[in-house]
Amino acid sequence: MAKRDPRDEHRGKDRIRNLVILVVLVFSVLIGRLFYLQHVKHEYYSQYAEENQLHRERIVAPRGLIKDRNGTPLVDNVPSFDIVLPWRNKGAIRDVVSDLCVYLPLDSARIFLRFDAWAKKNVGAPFPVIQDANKFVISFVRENVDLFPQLRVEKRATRRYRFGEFAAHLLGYVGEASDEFLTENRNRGYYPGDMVGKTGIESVCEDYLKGEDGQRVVAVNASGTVLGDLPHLSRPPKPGSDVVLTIDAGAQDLLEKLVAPWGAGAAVVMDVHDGAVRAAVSLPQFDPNSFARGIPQAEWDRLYGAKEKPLFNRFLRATYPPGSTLKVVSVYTILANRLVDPREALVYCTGAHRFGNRVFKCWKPEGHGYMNLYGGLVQSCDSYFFEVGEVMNVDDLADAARAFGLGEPTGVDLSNEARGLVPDRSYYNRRYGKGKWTQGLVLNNIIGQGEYLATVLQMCRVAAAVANGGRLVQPHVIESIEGEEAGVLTTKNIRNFGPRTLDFVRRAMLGVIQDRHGTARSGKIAGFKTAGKTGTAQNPHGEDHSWFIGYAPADDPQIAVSIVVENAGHGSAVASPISRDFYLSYFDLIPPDSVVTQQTVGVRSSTGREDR
Amino acid sequence: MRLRGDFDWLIMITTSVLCIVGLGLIYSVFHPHQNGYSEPVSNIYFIRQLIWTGVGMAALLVGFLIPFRIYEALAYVFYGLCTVLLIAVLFMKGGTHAQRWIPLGPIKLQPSEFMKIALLFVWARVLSGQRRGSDRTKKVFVALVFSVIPFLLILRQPDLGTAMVLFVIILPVLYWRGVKGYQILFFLSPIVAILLIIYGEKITTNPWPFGIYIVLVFIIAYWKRSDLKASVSLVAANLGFGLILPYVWQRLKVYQQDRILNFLDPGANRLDEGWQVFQSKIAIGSGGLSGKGFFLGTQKALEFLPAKHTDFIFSVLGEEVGFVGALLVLILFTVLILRALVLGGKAKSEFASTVCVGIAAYFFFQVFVNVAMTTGMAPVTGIPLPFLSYGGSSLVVSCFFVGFLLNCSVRWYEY
Repeated sequence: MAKRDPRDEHRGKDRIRNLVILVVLVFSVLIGRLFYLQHVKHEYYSQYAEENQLHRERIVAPRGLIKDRNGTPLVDNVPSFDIVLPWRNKGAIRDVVSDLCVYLPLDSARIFLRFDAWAKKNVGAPFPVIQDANKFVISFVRENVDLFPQLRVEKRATRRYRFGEFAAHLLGYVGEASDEFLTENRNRGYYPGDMVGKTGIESVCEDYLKGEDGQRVVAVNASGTVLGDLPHLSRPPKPGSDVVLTIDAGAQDLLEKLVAPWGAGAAVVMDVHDGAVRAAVSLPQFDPNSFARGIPQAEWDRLYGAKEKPLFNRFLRATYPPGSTLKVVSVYTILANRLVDPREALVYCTGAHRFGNRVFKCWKPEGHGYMNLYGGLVQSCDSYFFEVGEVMNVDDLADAARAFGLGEPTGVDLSNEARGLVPDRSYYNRRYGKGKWTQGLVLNNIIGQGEYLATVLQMCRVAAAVANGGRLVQPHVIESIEGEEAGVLTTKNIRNFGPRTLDFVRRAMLGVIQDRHGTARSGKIAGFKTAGKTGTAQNPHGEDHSWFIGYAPADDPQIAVSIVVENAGHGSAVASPISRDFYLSYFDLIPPDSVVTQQTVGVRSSTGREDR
Repeated sequence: MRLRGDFDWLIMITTSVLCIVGLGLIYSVFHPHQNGYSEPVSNIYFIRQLIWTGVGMAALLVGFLIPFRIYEALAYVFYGLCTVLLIAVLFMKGGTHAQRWIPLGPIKLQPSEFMKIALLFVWARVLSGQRRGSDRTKKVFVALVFSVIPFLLILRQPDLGTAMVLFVIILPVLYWRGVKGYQILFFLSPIVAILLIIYGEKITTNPWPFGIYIVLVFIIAYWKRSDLKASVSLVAANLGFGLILPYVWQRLKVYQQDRILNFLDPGANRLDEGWQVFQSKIAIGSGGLSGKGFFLGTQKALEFLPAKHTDFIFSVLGEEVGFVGALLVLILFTVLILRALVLGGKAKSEFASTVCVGIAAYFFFQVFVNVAMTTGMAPVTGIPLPFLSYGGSSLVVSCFFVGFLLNCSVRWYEY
C-alpha cells in the first residue's frame, strides 16, 4: 500500500479546504434559489397553485365496426356533438345555464334536474349541458366564446345501424350501461352513461368492440378556461376491434324481404359444411338506431308491449313444434333402428288412423292410398308414421332427435339461445306419472306434433346434417374479429347415419320437391335440384305455422335453409315458395330484375357494393 | 482487534434522518389530501421503499465491516462485473425509450448506480501511490480511460444525466489527487463549448457567444501556462467538439434534445418538459417558508409530475415542509459531504482517502443536479436525490458509501 507523501500533507489540507468552500458555495446558491422561490416569489407561485388545475378527460374509444362476410359495414359510428361545461361547483353551472337560456331555447329546469343526477355519478367530469346539439347551437357556442368561455363543443361517436331494421336481432343494439352491468364490470373502464352492447353481436362481442379509452389531460385555470394540452400525460384511444360476421348481407336482406309480407316468422340460412350462418331472420324487427340515441320511454313501452313482439328474437329464442319437418328425424330413427322394411307398403292411408279408441287424422282427409317409407316422407303421409309410431320406442325417437342436436342449444355464438324440447320416457314419467301415459304420445311425436319443440336454427342444422353427409355442424355467426379467426368449430358425426340411410333420406327429401306428389312441388325450380321437407305446425293459439327445411343444390349441397312463418298455414303454401324465391336470387338463377323481390333488396348479394 | 478510530455518529445520524424523511415523503406522495384528480391511495411504494431501506442498511454494514484493503484488492473485479452488467442492459429491450435496469425477479437492478462504486474504487486504486511529474499524467489518463467505457455504455442506454454525473465525479477526485484547478477548468471547457454551440445553433443562430468563449479560453490558457502549443491545442480541441457536435446531436433522442433546449431556453415550451419544471417550481414556491404541512401538499396530487416520487421528490419536500424543511435537508447533505471530505483528508490510506473524496463528490453532484433541476436551474435528468428518491439501487449504493465512510472513520490510521 502506498504511503502518503508528507510533503503532500499540507497541500492536501488546502485542497480539502477548497473543496469544502466549493460545496458550501454551491449549496448556498441552492439555498438562495430556494429562498427566492419560497419566500420572494411565494405569492406568485401560490397563486398558480390555486388556479392551476389539471383536467383529465376521457376520450371514449370508437366502437369497432360490425361487417358482413364481404366487408360491408353493417354497423358503424357517426359523430354527434355535445356542449359540455367543466365544473367545480353547482353555483357556476347554474349561472352559465341561466345565461345560456337567455340566448337559446332551453329548458333550464330540466337541465338542472339532469345535472343533479349526473353530478352524483360523475365527479369532476365536464357536464354535457346540451346533448346531440344541432348546427345552430354549435355555431352559437363557437361564435360566442367571449360570452361563454367555459363551454366546449365535444365530439362523441353515436352508434349507427346503417340499414335500420336490417338484421336487428342478430346485430343487437347498444344502450346505456345498467347499474348491474357496471357492478359486474367494475375496474374494466366502464362509467355511468356509457353505451354498451345490450343484445345480439353488440353484447356478445362487447369486449372486442369496446376498445380502450384514451385520455386527454389539459391545464385549466380557475375559471375553467383551457390553457393547453399536456401531450405527455395524454394518450390516444385504441379503437375497438372490427367484427366480421359470416352473414351475407345480400342473403339476409333478401330473406327478410321474402318473409316480411307474412308478418311474423324466422328463417336461417347456413353453410352446410361448417355451420356459418349466412342469414338469420327474425320478424317483425325494430330499429336499433332508436336505442343507440337513448330510446324515449314511450317508444320503449310501445316496442315492449306490442302484440307482435318485435323485440323477441325468433330465430334464436322462439321454439315451435317442428311439425312434419321432424319426419326427417323420424325416418332416420326408423332406418337406424331397422323398425320396418322401407320398401314395404305398410299402410293404406284412408286419411285417418285408428289407435286404441282414438282416431289420428292424416293431414290429407281423402287419404294417400298405399304408402311405403319413401312415399310417407315425400307426401308427408301421417298415417304411415302413425303405423310405425305404434311400435317405436319413445326413447329411440328422443335419442335420434338429440343426435340431430334438438333439445339443447346449438352453441351458436349468441347469448340466450333456447333449448327446445325433446320429450323422452323420463320426461313423460315426470309429467304424467309412471304408466299413466300411452304410446299415443309417440304417434303425435313422430309427426312433430307432440311435445317436441325446436328453433329454426336447430332445424336448419338438421337439414345441414343431411346435406353434408351426416355431420352435425356448429352454427356460428362470427367469422373473425380484427382478422383473427373466431373460436374453434366442433362438428360431430351422427351415429348410424351410414351411406344407405343417408342416401334414402336425401332421395326422399329430393322427392319432396321434385316428385309429382311431393308436398313442396310448388317450390320446384326448373333445371335446379333442391331438397327439403315441409311442415305444418298446429298451434293452439291460432293458424298453423308454415315450416320448411331444405338444402340446395341437391347434388352438391352448399346451403341449408330453415324457415318458419307464423300463422301462415301449410308449409307447402308459404315457407316452401319462400325458399324457392330465395334460391332463385341467391344462386343467380334468373336475371335479377325479373324477380319481384330483387327490386326492394338494397344490398346486392355477395358483392356488398351497393349501399342503401 | 481494537479499532482506534471513533465511529462517526454524525454520519450515521444524518443518514438515518435522511432515510426517514425519504420514507415519509414517499408515504405522503401516495396519500394525497385532495382526492379530486389524484391517483388512488397506495402503500405499495412505501412498503417497497421500506424493504429497500432494510437492504440499504445491510449494504451499509457490508461497506462498514469489510476492511477497505479488500475493496482495494477487488476494485478491478468489481469494475469488470459492473461493465458486464452495463453491457447486459443494452440487450434488455424495454419500453419506448430508455432501458436502464435489469429485471431480477420482482426487483430491478440499475447497474449504472453500482458502476459508481466500481469507478470510485478503480480511480482510487489507479491514482493512489503516485509521486509527481509525468507518472501522474499517465495515471490520470488511465483513470479517464476507465471512465470512458461506462460513460459510453450509459450514454448508449441512453441515460445522459447519469453519464454526465459519472463524468464530473472524477473532477474533484483528480483535484484531490493533485491535478491543478485550472487544468480541471480546461477539462470542463468542452462541455461549456458544447452548450454554447447548441445555444448558438438551435436557439439564437448567433455564433458570437461561442466565438467569445473560444477567445477567452485561449487567453486564460496562455496566461496560466505561457505555453502557446498547449493553448492552441486546447482551442483546437474545443473547435473539434464544435465540428463533431452536429453528428452527436443527431444521435440524441428527441426528448434528450428537448431537455437540453429546454434548459437553455426554458420559456419556449412550458407545456412539456418545461411544464414539468414549472410545476415543480409552483410546488416548491407555494410551499413558502414553513410549507403546507406533511400530507397537505396540493400540487403533488395533480398529475403534473410522472416522477414525483422519484426524481421530483424534492418538490414534494419543498411544498410540504417549505423552506425550513428543505434547508434542513440540504444542511444534512452538507454535513454528510463535509464529513466525507474531512475523512478524506484524515485517512492515511491513499485508496481510502481518494474514495472518501469521491463519495463526497458523488453526494454533492447527485444533490446539486437534482435540486438544481427541481428548482429550474438545470436540465431535467434522471438523477435521483440520494436517500429521498424512491428507488432501490440508488439507496443501496448511497448506504454502501455511508458504510464505507464509517469504515474509514474507525480505520483512518490504516494504510
